[in-house]
Parts: sequence; C-alpha cells; structure tokens
Amino acid sequence: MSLKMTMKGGFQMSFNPDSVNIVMTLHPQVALLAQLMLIGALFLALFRLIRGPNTVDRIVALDLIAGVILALTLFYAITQNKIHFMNVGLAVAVIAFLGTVAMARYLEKKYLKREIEKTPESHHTSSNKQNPPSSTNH
Amino acid sequence: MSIIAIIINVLVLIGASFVLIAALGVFRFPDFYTRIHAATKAGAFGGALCALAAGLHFLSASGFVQAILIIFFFYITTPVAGHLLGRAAYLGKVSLYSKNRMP
Repeated sequence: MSLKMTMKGGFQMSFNPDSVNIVMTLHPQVALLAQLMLIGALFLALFRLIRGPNTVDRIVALDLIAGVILALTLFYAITQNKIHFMNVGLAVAVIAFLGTVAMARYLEKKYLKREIEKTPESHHTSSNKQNPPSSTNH
Repeated sequence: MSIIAIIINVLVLIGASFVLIAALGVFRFPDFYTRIHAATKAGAFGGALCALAAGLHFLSASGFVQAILIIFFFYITTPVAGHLLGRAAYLGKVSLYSKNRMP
C-alpha cells in the first residue's frame, strides 16, 4: 500500500499486493495456541471472580485478569507489528498494581476496625485516643 | 525463520502457558493462600516473558526500554500487591484449608 500526494491536495491510495511486506514473526499455529491459552486463562480467572468465597479471592482474580490482559496486549503488539501497544501494556501494569494495593489497604483498614470494635480492652484505649481529655488541650 | 524469531515463538509459548498455569491454580486450589501463591508468582512470570518477547520483536531502543519498564512494573510490583493482600487476609482471619493432613 502506498500513499501519493495528488495535485488537488488529497491523498491517493493505491494497493499493490507485491509491495506489501508483512512481518510474520510468530508461526500461525503458535499464535493460535498462545491465544487459546490466554483466553482460557481469562475464563478460568473469571470463574474465580464470580464465585470467590471471600472478597480477597475476587481481588486476586482481578489481579490475575489484569496480568492476562497485559499478556494479550503484548501478544497483539507482536502479531500486528505495532509498537504503540506496549505503552498500553505499561499502563495496564501500573493501573493493576495501584488498584490491587488500594483494595488491599481498604480491606486491611476495615478488618482492623472490626478487630478493634470486637475486643473490649482495645476499644477503651482507642476511644481514649480518639477523645483525649479536655484538660490536655489547655 | 531466523533464530530470533524462534526465540520469540518459544518465549510467547512459555509465557502463555505460565499464565494458563496461574489461572488454573487460581481456579483449582482450595484455599486463598494457595491461590495467591499461584497468581502472583506464575502470572507475573508469564507476563514478564511476554514483555521480553515483545521487546525482542521490536529490535529498537524504545521497544527495549518499554519492555524493561513493563517487566519492572509488573514483575516487581505484583508480589508486593500479593503481600499486601495476604496481610489483609491474615488480619481478616480468612480460613485455611481444613482438610489438610499433616504427615
């Protein structure tokens, strides 16, 4: 495919199949096998995401789904011979890490709060910390 | 096919199979702690191998830099996220696998 500038200011596109130079790095059967493996991994992780007994199981499944999507993006970059999809993979990696850390911190705070409310000894100490006596303020 | 194309094929196959094994572990293991063990080690390794294959495919400086950045941000930070998740699960008293028989 070649682009030529015409005199009227537009582009004229001419398709010549002999001049098309397709870079095929991956063997077609290898590409098909890798694609099937990645999509199967996606479905297995989706099962755990839907039917996880706990919240942490679902978060692990989401983390794994982000990893599978990163691998699929890089695979697509190789097969389509476009380097820009590697930037997409980088963004997916960073966002997956930040999301997992945020959800883990939220769960940790929630569980710690429940732990403090459950035991009466630490409940008094925490309430004393939250509401200090007014004499110390003056 | 040149040698580097064969290397890229092998890397993509091994990376995809590692990701599949990680998903199989998450699907099949009986416990949260064994599941996190499968997901954060094998999945990160498979993604890193795919990134290395993509960096070898685009034999250029920007391709290598992006591949190294992906490997850093994925292969280094996924175990950290797994550690935080494991600590949250330990604090929340997520139950262990109870049918385990000690020898």
